[in-house]
Amino acid sequence: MKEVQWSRVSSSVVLLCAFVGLYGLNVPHAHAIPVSTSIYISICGDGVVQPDEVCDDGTANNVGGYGSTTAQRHCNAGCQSFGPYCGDGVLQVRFGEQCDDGNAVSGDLCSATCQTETPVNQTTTGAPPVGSIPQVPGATQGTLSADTPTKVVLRGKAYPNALVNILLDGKVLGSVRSDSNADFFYTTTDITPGTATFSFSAQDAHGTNSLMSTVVFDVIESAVTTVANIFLPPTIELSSDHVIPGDLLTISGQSVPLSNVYTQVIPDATTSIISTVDGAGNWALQLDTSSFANGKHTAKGFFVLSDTVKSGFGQSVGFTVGPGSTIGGVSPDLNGDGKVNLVDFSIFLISWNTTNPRTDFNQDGITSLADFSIMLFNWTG
Amino acid sequence: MNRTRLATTLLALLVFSPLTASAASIYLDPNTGTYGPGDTFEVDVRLNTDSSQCINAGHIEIDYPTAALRAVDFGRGDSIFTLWIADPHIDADKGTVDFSGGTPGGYCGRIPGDPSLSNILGKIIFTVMSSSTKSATVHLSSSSNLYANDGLGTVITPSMSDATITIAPHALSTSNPWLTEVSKDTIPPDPFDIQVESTRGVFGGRYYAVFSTVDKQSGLDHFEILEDGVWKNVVSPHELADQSLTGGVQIKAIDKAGNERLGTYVEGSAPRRIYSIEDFLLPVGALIILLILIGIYLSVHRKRNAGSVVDLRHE
Repeated sequence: MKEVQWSRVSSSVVLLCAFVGLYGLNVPHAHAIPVSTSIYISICGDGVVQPDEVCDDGTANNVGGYGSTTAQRHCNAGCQSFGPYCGDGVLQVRFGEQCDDGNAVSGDLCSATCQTETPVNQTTTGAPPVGSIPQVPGATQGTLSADTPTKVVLRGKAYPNALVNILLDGKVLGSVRSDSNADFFYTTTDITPGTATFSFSAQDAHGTNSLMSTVVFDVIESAVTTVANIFLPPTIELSSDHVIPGDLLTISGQSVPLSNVYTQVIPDATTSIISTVDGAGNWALQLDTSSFANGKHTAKGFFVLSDTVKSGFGQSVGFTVGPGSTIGGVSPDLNGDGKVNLVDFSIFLISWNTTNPRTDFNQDGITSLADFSIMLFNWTG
Repeated sequence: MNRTRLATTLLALLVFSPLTASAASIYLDPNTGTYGPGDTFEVDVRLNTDSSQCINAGHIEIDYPTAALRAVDFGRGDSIFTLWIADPHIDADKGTVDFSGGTPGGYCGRIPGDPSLSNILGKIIFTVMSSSTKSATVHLSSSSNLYANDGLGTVITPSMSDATITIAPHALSTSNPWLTEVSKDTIPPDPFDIQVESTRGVFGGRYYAVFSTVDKQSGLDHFEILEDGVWKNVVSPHELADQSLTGGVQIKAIDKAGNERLGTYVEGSAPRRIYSIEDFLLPVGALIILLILIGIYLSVHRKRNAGSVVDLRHE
């Protein structure tokens, strides 16, 4: 009897431990593939020379004034170069230089402070040394005063020759076209210091819009904040959103040239299907749906160019296999102007907490935060 | 037999246990502090997450003991939410604060190199009411929810951690840090456009104004519109009183420090007005009534004239 009771107790304890242990585990979903991005921020003005900077003298110190020696040279605003200095190889007469041989060494006929040196054993004749020119009256030395504007620099990759739209705090800030390698570069001084939300999206050559990528960071006053490695995920489209099992489904889009696109099909594949992006930025794969169960499926992807150049997942697209209606829904573009922006949000607010089907995007019977979330996901600005 | 049952039970647990764990968490910062009656302090509501779970909207509810504390203001200057369902709401009687907002594209966690955490959802300013209790908990309610930036409206239940305030018997500070912070703000809200729209099904097609901005310092307080020569509080969207638009549209944003920014409205930028049946109902209805009245009058007039002729013939 005691033996039986102990067996039951031990079984219960084991079960309890298993239950607690399972809840304590962070078991990833079988289909989840961890994806990380490599966005980073460097601030010109923080006194730290970041990988993409040449110099950084700290906040309000990057004023690029004249340095009387190489050691005393000053960083320019933007942290990409130094201001004029003795030793830069440029004769700057207005700063009192008599010579500049591009080094910080004395005894080579041009001193470390850019003054001409008399050669050894040479008698001066009274003639002025070569390069000696009286200092220009009014020339200033030392630090040039400058008001450093608050500036943000944005760098990343989209698709070849695509127009990248940039939002600041949800509103359109501007746009820039990426080059043939999909690189884009944008700067703005139209910004107030504080927490800023920048969002990026682009339309590929086939008219497909990317998922919006957002970065949130603190903009420092009078500093140049550079955000690099903004990598837009691949665009994705389907040849059909309703197929019969056995049909071939083409999934395609655009991404960074010569990268690999990893496509996940949910809930069917536990690994990603890899496609190579061609020089024009196009990628495609053909999916054999013969083993697919009837019902709704989705596909999404990310690109990898190298260990440090890769995106997160992009837009998820849905398709139906077998009988059943195509995947549809209510569009958050409530005024039908092709954009999802503040006007649609304002229309949405009027129907807040009502049963208006027009604003019930997830069709759960109420206009609520879930619908607000869907609108924000589809935001275009 | 026992081993078989055990294995079956374990397998069942493995299959059916909800093994989801959220990467997102909401916490209060600072989570501790000591203040006395009359002292004012700030508590930031912050969000942690990472790129595996980007968040684009949330509803946050906080409660606190009214005997010890009183929420006196809400600052959204540093908030990562750029759109708000409504103004943050403080219920001093119930001891609750709630707010709902979101950010297009979502928040995916802190960027390496960011000099700040940049993860504030909002800032609550409290005043200590009395020292009748030795401690007070500012509590994040389980009604708080986050939403994933997945286009599906997926609800994320974050882990949450509260703040515990130790109440001292006497005031510990002679200054009000919130007032100090607000008084230092001399920068008006960010520039913004005023869009005038006319949309079928919205305000009966009548012109309405759409506007939004942020204030990165003390935070936005409210908007005002000039109508009938008077500045009055307004929220977006707002049906315009002057549908002719001849007087332009003047709306200003005001922050907590009272700094003002007038929005920009471009004359002539409004779309063509959409007219609905309601726009014609009144004039058409009035015309119909007028025609009926005319018809009645003529009918009565004819009868009177017809009656007079008969009388003459009889005489």
